[in-house]
Amino acid sequence: MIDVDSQSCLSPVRLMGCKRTWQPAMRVALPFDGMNMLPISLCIISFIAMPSGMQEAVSAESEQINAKGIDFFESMIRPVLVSKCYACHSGEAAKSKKLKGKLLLDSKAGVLAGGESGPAIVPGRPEQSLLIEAIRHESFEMPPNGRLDDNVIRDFVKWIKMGAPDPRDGQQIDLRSLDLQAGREHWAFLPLGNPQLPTVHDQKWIRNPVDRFVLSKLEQHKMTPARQADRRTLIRRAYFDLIGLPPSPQDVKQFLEDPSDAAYENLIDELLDNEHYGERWARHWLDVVRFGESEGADLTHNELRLNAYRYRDAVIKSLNTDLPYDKFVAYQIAGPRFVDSSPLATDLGQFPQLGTTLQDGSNPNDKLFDKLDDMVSATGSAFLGLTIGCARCHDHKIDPVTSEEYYRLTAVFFDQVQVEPRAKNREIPLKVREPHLLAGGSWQRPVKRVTPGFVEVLMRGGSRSEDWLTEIADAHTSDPLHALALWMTDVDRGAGQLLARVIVNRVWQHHFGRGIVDTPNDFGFLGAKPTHPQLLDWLAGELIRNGWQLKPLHRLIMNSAAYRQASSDVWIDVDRDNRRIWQHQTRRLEAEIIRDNILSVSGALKRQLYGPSIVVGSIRKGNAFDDDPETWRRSIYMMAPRFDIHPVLSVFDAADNVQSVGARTVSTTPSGALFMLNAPFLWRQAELMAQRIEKEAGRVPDDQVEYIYEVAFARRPSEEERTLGIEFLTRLPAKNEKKDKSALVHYCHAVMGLNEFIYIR
Amino acid sequence: MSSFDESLARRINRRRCLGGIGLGGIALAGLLAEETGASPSDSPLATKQPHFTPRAKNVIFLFMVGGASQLETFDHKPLLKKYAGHDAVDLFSDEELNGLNPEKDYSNSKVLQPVFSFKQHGQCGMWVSEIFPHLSKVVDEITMINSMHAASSIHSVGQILMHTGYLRPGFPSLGAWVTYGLGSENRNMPGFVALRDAVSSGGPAMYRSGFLPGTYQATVIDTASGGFRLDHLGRQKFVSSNQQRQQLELMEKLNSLHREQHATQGELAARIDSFETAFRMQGVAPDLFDLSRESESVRKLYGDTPFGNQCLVARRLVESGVRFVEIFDGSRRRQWDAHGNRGGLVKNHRTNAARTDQGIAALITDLKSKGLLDDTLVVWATEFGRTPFEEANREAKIGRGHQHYGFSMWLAGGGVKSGFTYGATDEFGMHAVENPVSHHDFHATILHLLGLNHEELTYRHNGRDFRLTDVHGRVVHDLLA
Repeated sequence: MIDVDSQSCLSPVRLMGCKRTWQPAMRVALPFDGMNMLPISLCIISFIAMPSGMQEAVSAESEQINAKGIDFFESMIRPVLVSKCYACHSGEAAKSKKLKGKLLLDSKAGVLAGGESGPAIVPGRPEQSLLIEAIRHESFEMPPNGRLDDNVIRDFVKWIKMGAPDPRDGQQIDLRSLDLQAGREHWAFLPLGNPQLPTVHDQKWIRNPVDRFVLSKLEQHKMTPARQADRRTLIRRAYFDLIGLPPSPQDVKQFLEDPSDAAYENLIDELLDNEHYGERWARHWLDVVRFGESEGADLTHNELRLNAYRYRDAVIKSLNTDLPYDKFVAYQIAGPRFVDSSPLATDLGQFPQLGTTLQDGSNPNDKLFDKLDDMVSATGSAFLGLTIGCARCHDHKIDPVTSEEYYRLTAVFFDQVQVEPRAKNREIPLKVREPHLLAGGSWQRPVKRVTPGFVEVLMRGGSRSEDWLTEIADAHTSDPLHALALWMTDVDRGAGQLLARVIVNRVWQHHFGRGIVDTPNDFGFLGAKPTHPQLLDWLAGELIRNGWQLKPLHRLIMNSAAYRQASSDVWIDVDRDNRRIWQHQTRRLEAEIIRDNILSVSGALKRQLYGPSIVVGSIRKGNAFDDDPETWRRSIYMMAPRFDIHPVLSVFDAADNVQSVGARTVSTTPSGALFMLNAPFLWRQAELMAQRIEKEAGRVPDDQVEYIYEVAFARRPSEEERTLGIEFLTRLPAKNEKKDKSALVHYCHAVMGLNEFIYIR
Repeated sequence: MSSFDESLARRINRRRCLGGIGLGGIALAGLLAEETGASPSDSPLATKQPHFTPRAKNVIFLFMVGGASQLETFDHKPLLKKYAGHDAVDLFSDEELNGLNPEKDYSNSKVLQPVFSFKQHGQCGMWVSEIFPHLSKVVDEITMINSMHAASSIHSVGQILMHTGYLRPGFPSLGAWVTYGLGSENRNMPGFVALRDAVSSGGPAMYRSGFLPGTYQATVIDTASGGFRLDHLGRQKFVSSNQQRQQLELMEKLNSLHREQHATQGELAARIDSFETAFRMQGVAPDLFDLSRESESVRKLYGDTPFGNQCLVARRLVESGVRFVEIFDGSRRRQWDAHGNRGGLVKNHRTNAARTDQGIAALITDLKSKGLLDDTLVVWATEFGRTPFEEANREAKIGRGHQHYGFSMWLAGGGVKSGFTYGATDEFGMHAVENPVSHHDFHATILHLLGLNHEELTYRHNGRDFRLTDVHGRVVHDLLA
């Protein structure tokens, strides 16, 4: 019995430990297409070819016995199959979508091939035949609506003992083509539509085509958009969205005093040209590509990767120079292989290698396939919003991705993984030295060699993986990574249209707090459906038409009336989650930006760009972290080792740097509040902020409060806020006059703890 | 005044104060919100209904870092003496040996008989080795599982596996799942608290919340100093309590004004609450860690040692409504890792047992006498067991290697049978052969005791519903009382 205890069925994330050892047989129930009690260990066998020799045994039988056998089949077996099994296990059932367990019992081939749980019978060996187990109700309970008569079961046993003679030589229905057909109809895999711009009633609200899609949806539901936000709100929003830093009081003043009608559009242009734009948006991308700067097996095997920062810098540069996104992707997959490779390509080409590595002590075979899985899974999640990793152990249960396609993708990356065939003290030979399809995800069960290939459901016009693989073979030696990059960015025949949809959605998500598709890393069957499918397609089309440049996309989104809405709660009861975009959702800044904001208002932030990461502390040292002013740079430059997240980041839900993260969680914890109340870092920054305020606004409490609101919130305080501030500044009781911090320090410290400081509207 | 009264008084004060400067409307809105209970039931830590009637409400999870030897603790294998000195390679297949830590070489390993004597204890006659004299007296409260098996013989992997069900970091730990499933009963304290003296090789993955919201990760209490330290719990030296109170009041008022403009956004209210919780924690937590509040006799019962005090604090935390308390024993230097070159098996396990025995026994006794044992599940766990043979004969002292095929863990209270031994390993104490219990089964059973169906406790992440037990696990009903 094959045991898969250490494996994770259905998992889109990486698996490890597929090595198998003696272990007590363990049967685990799992819900499965209405069948009861599937032994998980059987789940795998479907990939194992029929034991050789058995077919020979079958064919060795004499004609005469065969004829007798066929009679037996026709009289005893076929009628039962037809009346009791075909409803769920036949080509007809497949066509009417009633097929269970991908098992077809209406042809000889189908019976022998079996379904998801493996071959239904082993001719000559009833005790090894799943079908017998099932009709005896030992594992599956089939038929589900009542056990067959014991005599009938005995007939089946006898039939299999006879070698399971079966005259039904009809073609087994090609389930794969049914799956593919259904898959191609899934919204995300359809070609981009060419949506007409919707007509709307309230024409004067419209600023650009984006608004037509948004407003038409609102009008459909008899809703109205919120009013336009004021300039102070807009400038703060735009600054944080595009560069992740607050506007200075001077920036605000200038914007408010700009008489031009295009003042806002000009502001967006300026910010897009600001080099901090790259830092801000690179962080979003680093989440998606599971960027981390250590090996990351565990805390004891977590050597730093001192060159990883070059990848981070290359992402920042690519964004700042608006490198077309298709190239950005191609460089990451194929690196310097591109003909027109730029210096960026080499650094971006680290993408496949960014993931974690198993421990030194691990079996090198595990290491090899774990690494390959990381590469394939990250590629699927980051670029295509596909959970390809699910197909490691079996055909993807949900999306039309087969195990074979998964392993063809591992073949693409195969040469990228160099594994020493030894553990620490022992040679352990690499069992699989060429790309193979593995049964159940285990290198101990290679099934057949596979060649590089891509995901079929995303190919159009009858294209095949080989088209891209040979396309480049003319110019170079055949390089599967290069071919993958071409396929991925091929709009006409390959995955390019999905690629565009996925990135457009990510950009939208970071401007509105929610993607048009709410599951940015999963555009598959289990992912969310787009709230504005036509808008998504139109934006994806625009991206492609604009030569894949992201800055025009930002411009289009941010200049829309939809984006310029104020926060509101008018329609909260109708649409709490703002799916129809009737307001601007107030939302929290990310961990890194919260820290950047603190350093920024205190005046301590060092704005130097690029370079090796700064080390600020380690969990190994009991969370003590180094608060040297040299480290007061933007958070994206802080070393990001795995499992060792900086404390200021960990209380605000930073990404874990291990798996691709499409959307962060936002959680509120007492630890976070304690941090804001008592962490030395906050008090130190509050002191610096107080110094800055005194220097720039003088010593009059009224002026100080006024100025602090400009610095921290880009607005003026209300009367109540002013009164509360002045009261606090003038009346805070002393503790010990010598060591006391001034009331202004306490006030600045309080301001950095306010919701408005980290929630942007 | 209790902390709750204090907080209520403060809230009322705040309202009066706001009213005083002409903001009666806000005060009223705030009052209504409170009385309808909107905020607490919105809170991610609000108490939640389990799937069915629970047997236990809280968990105290005692984790022995390094891999406690079943052969020196609870799995009595007298027959091993017969094989003592035989080569491991003669008795065990390559497949079995290769499945252990692949970096180890067993070519010179010899079978080693158990180094401690065993006796049967209690009315149930449970076998316990001589190193646990205190625990031996409470075995009638315990369900012993001698047939645990897991999936890795590597420390970090095994530790992560025993906590998250997965072989790699990034997944929520058991404590996080439980807190996610049931919420917390004490608004002044987090739902999940972990006490540890260092970060062991499995790292924070053992108590973090993975893809679950950060609310469910453990609040870590550092016990390295022998005492109890919570990061940022204490005020800065230069801040007086009065000053902090003034500051918090200012923040509450300003946050309320801000919230007026975003009245419907729960997150903002939750964050205002989190400051109140933090403030109350500053008062409550030190009290919970202040063992001078316990009677002399109770302190004596626990032994007044660092570990004993941790057990006592665990009881106090659970008593105050903390859902899941975990004590990591010996994270620093992986203390239960009894190799020959790490002090030797005899000294290692004797020392470890001496450090923990009294506290654990006291915990059971004390919980029982306070009537808390029925509601509190006490778990004694470790990442894997140890081999029947020495690792190699090169080592100065005798020791055992790692194996995950068959080992011992136990449960007490919280709806499990008392004085019950379940499952067995083979004659070598190497493989669980009778009623094997996997880590998934173990997790499923713990959730079941808490009224949670392990197949229904799911969280959608990256397009898939994840579970603690992945697609595995079955509740071991035989263990339930």
